[in-house]
Amino acid sequence: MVQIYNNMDEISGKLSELKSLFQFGGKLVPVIETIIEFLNDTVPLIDDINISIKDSTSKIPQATDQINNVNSATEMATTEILDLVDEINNQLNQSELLIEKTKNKYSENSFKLKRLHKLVENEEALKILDELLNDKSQSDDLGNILELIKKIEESTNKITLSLQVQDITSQQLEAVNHLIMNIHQQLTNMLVSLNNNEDTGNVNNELESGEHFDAKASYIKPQNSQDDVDEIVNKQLNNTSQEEIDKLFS
Amino acid sequence: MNPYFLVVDDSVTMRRIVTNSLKTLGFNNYIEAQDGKDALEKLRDNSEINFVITDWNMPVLSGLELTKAIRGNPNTEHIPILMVTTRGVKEDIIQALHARVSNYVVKPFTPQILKEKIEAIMATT
Repeated sequence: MVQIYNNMDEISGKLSELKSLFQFGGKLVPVIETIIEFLNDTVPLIDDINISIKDSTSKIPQATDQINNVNSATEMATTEILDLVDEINNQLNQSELLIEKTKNKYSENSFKLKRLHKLVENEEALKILDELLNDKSQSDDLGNILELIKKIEESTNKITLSLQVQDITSQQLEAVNHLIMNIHQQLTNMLVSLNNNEDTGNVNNELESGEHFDAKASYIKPQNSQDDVDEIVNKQLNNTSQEEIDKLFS
Repeated sequence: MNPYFLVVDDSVTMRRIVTNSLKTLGFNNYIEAQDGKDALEKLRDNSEINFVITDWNMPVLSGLELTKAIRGNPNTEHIPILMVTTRGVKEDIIQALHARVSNYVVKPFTPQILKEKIEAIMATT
């Protein structure tokens, strides 16, 4: 009898637990309904995000291609400018040679005029020869033209120097390209996750090394930056032992 | 020393500018390589090369790796190496010196700077 009583007591307890569970379930149902509604609203949103990521991902190679095209075009244009600068320099060299030749001819002619001056006795002719011998304007003009050529050569050297900016911007663009490819890889990884690790097509997960460009490359006026470099080099070569350099890398 | 230069840079523009500068300075013996690997092949094939001017950042094999390879080979370890690069940070310069470059020029450079460094290296070899 005691056993039946105990069992009834246990059943009553269990029923009470079951009642609480139903009451809790009743409270939980609207929450679950809200979650389902939220999920129903979210799924198209995730689909949109998925499409958007796919769209962005597919456009990235186009962007990197465009950057590469810009790089190639500027390199080609720079080469053309360098060709022209070379041509100008060659013409300037030829002009210099011609002027030097003319100057030598002028000296030879002056020497001949002096010889003629000694031979001629006619006063009128001597007067003309004196005028010719004293006229230095032709020699001065040739000297001025040579100076002008030197200045043009200096300017063409400066143009060549400035064209180093092409290599520097090219490295900066490579760095941008590298960043874009990095984003491309992250988006691709997200796509793979969103699509439950399904293959998303031709995706190259290998991000190439950034060793072939300097992301910090900048166009600073040469002498200032070289002075800083020389200071470091001299300090290292003169004052620092190999052991100390090794220590820096250990 | 009659220098025979190997100019190593992946940029066509920079190779052109360096070789033009060499010509302006009266150095007419040079050949070019487009990266470190190409440079090592040229060094192997041409024993006349006795001066290397190299960029740092290059595909395939960088200038720093090239320097280490040159210094690690008994046939080429004595060849002077001038690093010409955009990398002007102290740590980079020390790293290059640690790899035993002979001197260091930061881009953009003038032919005068190049001349000073070449002459300084030639005076010590």
